[in-house]
Amino acid sequence: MEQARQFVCHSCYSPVPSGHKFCGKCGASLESNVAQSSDYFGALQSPGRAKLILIKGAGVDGMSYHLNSEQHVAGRLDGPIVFADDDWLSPTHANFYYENNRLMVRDEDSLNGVFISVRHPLPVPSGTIFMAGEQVFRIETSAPVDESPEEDGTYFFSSPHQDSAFRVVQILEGGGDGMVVCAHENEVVIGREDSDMNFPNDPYISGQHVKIEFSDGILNIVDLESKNNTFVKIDREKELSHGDYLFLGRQLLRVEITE
Amino acid sequence: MIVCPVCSKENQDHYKFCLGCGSDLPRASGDEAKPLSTATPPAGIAAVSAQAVAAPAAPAAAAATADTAAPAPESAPVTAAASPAPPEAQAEAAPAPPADSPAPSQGVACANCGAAIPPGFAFCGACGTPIGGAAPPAAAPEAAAKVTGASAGAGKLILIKPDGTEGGMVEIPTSPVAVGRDAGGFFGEDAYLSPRHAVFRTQDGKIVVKDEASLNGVFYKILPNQPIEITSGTIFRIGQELILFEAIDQGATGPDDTARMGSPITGLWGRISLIIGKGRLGNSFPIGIDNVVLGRERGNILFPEDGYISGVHLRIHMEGGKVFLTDLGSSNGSYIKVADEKELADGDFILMGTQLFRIQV
Repeated sequence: MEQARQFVCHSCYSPVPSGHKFCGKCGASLESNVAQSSDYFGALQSPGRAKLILIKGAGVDGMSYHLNSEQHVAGRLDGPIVFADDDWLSPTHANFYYENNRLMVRDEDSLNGVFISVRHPLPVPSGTIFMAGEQVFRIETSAPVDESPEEDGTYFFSSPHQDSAFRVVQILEGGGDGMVVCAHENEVVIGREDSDMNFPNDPYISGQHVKIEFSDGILNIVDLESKNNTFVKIDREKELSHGDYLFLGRQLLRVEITE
Repeated sequence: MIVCPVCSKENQDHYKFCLGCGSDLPRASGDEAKPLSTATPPAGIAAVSAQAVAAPAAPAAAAATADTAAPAPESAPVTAAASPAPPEAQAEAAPAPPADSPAPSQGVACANCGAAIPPGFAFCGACGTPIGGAAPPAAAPEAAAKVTGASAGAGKLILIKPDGTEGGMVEIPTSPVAVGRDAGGFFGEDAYLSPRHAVFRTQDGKIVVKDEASLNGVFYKILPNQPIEITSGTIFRIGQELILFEAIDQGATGPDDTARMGSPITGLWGRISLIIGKGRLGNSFPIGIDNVVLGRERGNILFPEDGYISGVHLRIHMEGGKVFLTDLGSSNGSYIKVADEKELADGDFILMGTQLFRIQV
């Protein structure tokens, strides 16, 4: 419970260990301004309807963000949910809001998007971006290779290949493409070992973590009961349910709906 | 599966020769995906490798590796002449090349269109007329192919047939000569050669090959156990595989100083990708350790289905911020694509289309 006893600076929202009199980040005095162990946004009256709990990230793990207003912006600069040190977050990254009494999240045109845990086999379109462990991927359906000659009658010499319904592309930091695997027999398994794409150095990926399969013309992401979940980038808006996990930049948050 | 009629070994359908005894394999019916597969390069490479590796003397090799970046002063005019212009196109083609020409010191004027022609050119860069107005481009190699005696030629391009024997030769004259499907002869039957594929010329007593922006390029064989520096974008061939090397793109931050998220790249410095079509990449493999070995059976990146790749074939490693390719004494060799042009020495091997050639100076 050590984490739960830490305070938060009211000036810059940085965590302040208990016993400190000044904020280590901005220097603001905390004497008369000591925050409670968790920060209430908007109307402070009740711990209320829903909250986000920081599971892992640059802030204080275990910290709660109560969602008691109608809208709650999250980002690197704009708050109230601010993670100033996470450069994977856009200044204004996402917005948590209520619509017809349902908790929703909207990607505010952020560079990197908002990712949500996948619970059941999820049909996805080509171009979908997802995460497993520390790895980020993109799925692309692929048209058969054009084997016809050029206009001048010359044929292209290429490596031997088989037609493949789709391919999985690892996206590297900075946006470049890394490992690429073209699906063999319509599925690609990603994991730490014995998979089609192996990441033996990723401590957060399970042995066999997630499977991408293509059947009846539809791509599906199937989490193989991985320890740390598979996360899919949301299109624009998404309703949140109790127990959902979200990745905003490097911040892993759990959704708790208390109402 | 093709069962060898000689030794009964089972071979994969696309093999041309038995992996067990080297005999010609009968064609499996219905697997003719590509035309002209009777002389695919792997077969050719395989057949000649034993003598190919042994033949070239070490000094020639040193010369070849040292001169990878020869200047190309007349590259622009040669490119302009890549497709000999029909007469009616002369008017629009003529004005451009003189402007690009690197001020020939003793150039001649084209007899057809009057454009200045730098010394050493066999064709007018503006209209494609052969200098001297004699033969069309096709005639030169064809005529030369018959020549075997001594002449003014600077060297020879000797075709190596899949069985390892010499299949004919082309004299490389002191003036530039173009080869490609348009040249006819054994070039004419290779559908993987562009109509005008490459130009051979002599420069300071050495033979230089220049890729004429051909579809499939010109590849030169590297000597075993000699590291060759490569850069991002280098394309090479081992066995049946056509492979692209790229340095890892560190990327730029997006707007607002936001970094593009992705998988950790700590330690990664490159990746290789199989080229499976024009502009199409297949599987890719990031390289994050100092020393990556490609092979059929052992190494970090394996090609178990490619019978023309040696058990341990090629090494890619980084040293002092530079990336090197080393053939590990493979049976069939490793070939690097000529980026623009390349000086060749006696005994060098080059691949064009599906055919293997040896250079004789």
